[in-house]
Amino acid sequence: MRKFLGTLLALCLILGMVAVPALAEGTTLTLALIGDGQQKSTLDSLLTKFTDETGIKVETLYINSGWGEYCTKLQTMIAGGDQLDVAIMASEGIQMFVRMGIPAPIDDYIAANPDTAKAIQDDVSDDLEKAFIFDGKTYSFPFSFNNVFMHFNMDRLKEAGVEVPKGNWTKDDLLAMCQKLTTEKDGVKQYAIAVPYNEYFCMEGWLYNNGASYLNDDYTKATINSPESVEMFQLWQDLIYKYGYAPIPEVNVNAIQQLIDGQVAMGSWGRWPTTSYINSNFKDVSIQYLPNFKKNELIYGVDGFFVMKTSKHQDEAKKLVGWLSSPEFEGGYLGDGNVPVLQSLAAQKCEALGIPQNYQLFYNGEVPMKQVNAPVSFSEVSSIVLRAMSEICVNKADVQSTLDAAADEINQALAG
Amino acid sequence: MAENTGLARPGRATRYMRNKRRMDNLSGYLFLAPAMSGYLLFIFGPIVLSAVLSFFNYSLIQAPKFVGLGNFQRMFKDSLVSNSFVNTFKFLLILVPIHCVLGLVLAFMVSRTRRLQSAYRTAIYFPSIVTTASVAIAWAYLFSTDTGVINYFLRFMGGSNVKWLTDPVMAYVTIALFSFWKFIGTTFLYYYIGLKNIPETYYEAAQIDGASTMRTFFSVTLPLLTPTAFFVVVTNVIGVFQIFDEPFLLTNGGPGSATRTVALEIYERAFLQTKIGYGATISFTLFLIILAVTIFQFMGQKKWVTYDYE
Amino acid sequence: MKKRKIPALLLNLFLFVLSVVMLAPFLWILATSLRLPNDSFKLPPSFIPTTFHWQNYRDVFTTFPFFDCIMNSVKVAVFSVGFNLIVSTMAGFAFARIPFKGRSFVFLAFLAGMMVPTQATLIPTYIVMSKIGLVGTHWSLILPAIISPLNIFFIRQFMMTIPDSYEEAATIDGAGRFRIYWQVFVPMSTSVIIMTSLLTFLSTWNSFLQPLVYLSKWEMMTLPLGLKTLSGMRNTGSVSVVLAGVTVSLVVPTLLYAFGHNYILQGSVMSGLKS
Repeated sequence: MRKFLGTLLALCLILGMVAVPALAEGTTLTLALIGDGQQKSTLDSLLTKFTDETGIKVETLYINSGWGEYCTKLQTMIAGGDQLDVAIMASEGIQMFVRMGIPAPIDDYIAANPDTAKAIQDDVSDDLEKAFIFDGKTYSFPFSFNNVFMHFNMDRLKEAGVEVPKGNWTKDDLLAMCQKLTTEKDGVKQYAIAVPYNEYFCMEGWLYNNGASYLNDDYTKATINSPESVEMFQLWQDLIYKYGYAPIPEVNVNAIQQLIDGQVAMGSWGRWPTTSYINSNFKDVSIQYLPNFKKNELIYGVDGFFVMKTSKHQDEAKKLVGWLSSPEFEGGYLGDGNVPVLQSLAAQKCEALGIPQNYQLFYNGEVPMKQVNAPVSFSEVSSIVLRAMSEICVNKADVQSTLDAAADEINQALAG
Repeated sequence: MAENTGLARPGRATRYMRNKRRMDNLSGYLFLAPAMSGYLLFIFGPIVLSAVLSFFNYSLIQAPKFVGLGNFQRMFKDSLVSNSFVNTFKFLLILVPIHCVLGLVLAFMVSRTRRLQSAYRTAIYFPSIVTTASVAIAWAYLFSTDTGVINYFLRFMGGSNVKWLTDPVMAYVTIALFSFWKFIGTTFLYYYIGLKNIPETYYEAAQIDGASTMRTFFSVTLPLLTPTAFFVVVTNVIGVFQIFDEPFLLTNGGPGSATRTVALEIYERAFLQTKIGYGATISFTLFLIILAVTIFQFMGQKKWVTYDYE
Repeated sequence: MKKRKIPALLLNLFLFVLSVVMLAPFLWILATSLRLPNDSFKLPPSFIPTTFHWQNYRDVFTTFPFFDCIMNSVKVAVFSVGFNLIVSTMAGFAFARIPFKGRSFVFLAFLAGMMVPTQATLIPTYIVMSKIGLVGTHWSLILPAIISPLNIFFIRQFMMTIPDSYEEAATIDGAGRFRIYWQVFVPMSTSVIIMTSLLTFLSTWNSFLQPLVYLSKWEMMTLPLGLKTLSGMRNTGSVSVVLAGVTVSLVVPTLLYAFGHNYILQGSVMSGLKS
């Protein structure tokens, strides 16, 4: 018995010593990104180049959630004392982040490295750059961006004898198409479309095309219960329940996978599903603008890498941010995934990947763009919006009253 | 030992006893020291801290802000929170009877078999020791509406798809089914051991009196099992009050907020919205409710639990 | 005897069907984990492996730091069990064999500790951990696991059943309290010690909420959290790979069950559930 306990204690000590990480010889930075991690191996291998050049090691972690949860997870990590030096952040959460005093400005880095900075700034559209400048201070360089398009599974379309719609298709075109695309195969129902469930960004893309949005233009009041917005949420609910063209969204079912498997014939996303498409060898896919309900106003969201004010390695972190925003890394990482912000790269990378068909839409910038709603209390607003979507699409709640309640909650959250 | 009489100095025996007592107290608390520090650090301390935090707003990054009863007022008006308490009670009403009654029934049935007893025991107990997260993930696939195995079998037998995870009522059924499959093993085992602990003499006496199986069960077995049953009910109630893994992994509180329990609510408020103070308010309230219910159960135990049977 | 035969048959039939239903999901998990990823959802489902796509198992380890997760779970579990054992046996011994002042009161206080929900202690514990810089480390999981009122209860019950004569003999031999504890009572409590160790091991091995709150880096994750992250990552790909991960995660509890279920029975019987 004594021997047993003694051995157990010895085992503990040995494991303890073995498990203690070797003291790093250079600095090690922690980099956080959003996503399911499919690109981690690409990221890690690209980062070895950075380590070779600068001797700084980088450990990466992916947080798999929406931007709302991602923001709070970062806050929790920082507040909890977990090491975090650089993190990606998207337009949705930037205001919130800056107001909370989380990122450090990189003006000193830009002053010290004018060439690197200029190379990036010259190659990026001004609108996208503005997203990262607050009170005259620059916090980051833009890295990648997205609009929202309708993606189509070409095999399903061919089976139903339907063509990819034109850029100015309407709601009636959408419904007609969905009707043809809802079929049954071997006893399993095949749906036409996946509603943009649990996607704050994609949902608002639809709203913009109907002249609606979650909030008013200066983010002081909720407009999620405006008639135009109600129309959209009602459409999503009807697609599921009234027409049966869309499946009921489930927590553990991924809509991109449903498109790849052919369970749905279309869904709305930016360019990020291309990573999954490549990994699943899914090539017969095409994109088009969302239906022009009242107009075609393309939503956009841009992201960039930020240095955390609490990082103990400010200079190294800023160096990493500069390197991550360079064409070298951007081109290497965004072969698939989001659209590179550097105009020289965008066309090149989209062409090189080849899918989806109509990829020119990703970067040809012909349509007016409007940024996604990014209020200061983004996390809360996002959570309220997504919950309302869940009530409407999964619980089949009454649209007007759910959105009215959500608007009240949002107004409270905006008041702070 | 001969006692000294009438002298001021205490006798040897008394001194010995006093020293012994002092030594006992000292060594007792010394032995207890690690457990005590653990208890204070991780059980008692946090509860007190939790109570204190309920009066503050705290987001971890900034300093705590005193808000008095603000959080409590907010909680009583918060329909999401009251909804989560209602949901938790629903789970209590469904899961506690299932676990406490079916566990006993199964234990009794298995104890009456002869040859395959340990095989049955294994089959019933095994799911309870595997990692909940692992199997919950697998079950979510099984219960998927369109591509799940369960619905496949239903369609195969001529039925139609059931919305296991996306219907507000069926979600409870699904979680209950999962909970039964996963956790019945523990209550089953406690009852089984309880049954094994009943001396044969009682059964022999009953047989001599000519009692049937059912009669023996109700008049002999059941009363003797009440201590076990009490333990099972109390631990089950405490456990279900805190239910997190199942709703989180199977439905994430959905559809909408139909299966959102108090534990999920606390997790979302404190860790996803960094409203630490508010989260503490809710969790402290939960603790008070559990405390009240458990005390109530202990008081009621005299009415139905029989302890003296030796 | 006729009265007993028919019910016995029905009984066995029912229990047999129930056992099959209880174990069927594991078969499905194993069989589907061996299917080609694109076929994972193809119906009809398989309960017996027909294809043997072992590549899935390799994928689990190459596309995700799964081995790290396993090692992390082992590390956390072993440390937790080790510390918990020392703490619980010492406390159990004190409650059972040392007549000290306030013993019953303190024991009741400990038992009351069982009522405290994890949710209530999680937030304050998290704050404390963050202030001393342990968030994101494994100590945030190990330290809270060292105190377990239930284990102390079981050990105390058991030690109370050991006859006084052993203690008296040791005292006569001149042994002090600690030696009595270490050389007499601990060796004699093997079955309950193994039982509580198993329970502690399983509870830390299976714990999900604490790692969810404290750990973010993939390389630091424990198995349940790793599996959830893996399923989030591979959801857009292959269910079979996730299920391969699930199967691997089931190996350790299975082995423990095979090794320990007799001890669990024995220990529970001995310490009894009598108050």
